Amino acid sequence: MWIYEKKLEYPVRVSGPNPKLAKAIITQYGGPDGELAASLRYLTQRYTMPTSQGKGLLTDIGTEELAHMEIVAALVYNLIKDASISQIKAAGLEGYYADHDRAVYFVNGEGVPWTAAYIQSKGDPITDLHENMAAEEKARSTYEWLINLSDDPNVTDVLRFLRQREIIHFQRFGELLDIYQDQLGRKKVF
Amino acid sequence: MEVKELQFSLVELNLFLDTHPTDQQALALFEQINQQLQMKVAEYEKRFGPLTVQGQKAGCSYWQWVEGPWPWEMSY
Repeated sequence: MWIYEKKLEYPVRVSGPNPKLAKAIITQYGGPDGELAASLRYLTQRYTMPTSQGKGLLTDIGTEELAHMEIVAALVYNLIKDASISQIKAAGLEGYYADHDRAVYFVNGEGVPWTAAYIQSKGDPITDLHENMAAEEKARSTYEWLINLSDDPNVTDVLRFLRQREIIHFQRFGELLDIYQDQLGRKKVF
Repeated sequence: MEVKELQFSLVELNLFLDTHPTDQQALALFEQINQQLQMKVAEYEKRFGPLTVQGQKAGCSYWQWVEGPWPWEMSY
């Protein structure tokens, strides 16, 4: 089970309405390398991790990703909540607005809805950990490109925090992979 | 803000300890920060209301949890 803490992992502040930036950032909510995909990927792979240590790490990183999903949602929500219709039109968000008003929905930057096809769960810990390390790097790259696009220093600050967390998760998954590969090298069968 | 910083330190130590479960320095630091955090959470909840539902004030005549603002509505 989970217990909700009524706070964000990192504070979110925006300088003002900016639906154009929201349109790009929303991909980290419902896009292929976004936080929903990350959290669901780890939280479903954890059942078949071969050791308690692996189950723990995937539970904990999957849980932190839920907190990141909330941070991204807070960014998108605050960037579009006070946007005028003309700003929404100028941002090319008419299609999104027609379907969702100013609500937060799981799509990528081009409006494509989230799909479970973005993630894998293979039952082989070596395979799954390689997928997860690649996923962390893809998310890190996405945050890099979003930082390049950001014209709001308050938003950039949050994006930098999220980028940094991808690097830590990559590191921790790598350590678990090393542990598993050592065990395989000693011919210990899971 | 102090609560956020201490909690973040615990998240970071949590993940580190997952892959380094016998690191004595990290274990000691986790214990130390965890103690500090308990105190700060109690102070925070007294001022701003519950962080989790368990933070409901004893004897309070209304349900504090549903009072705003929610985390995405904060202006820091």
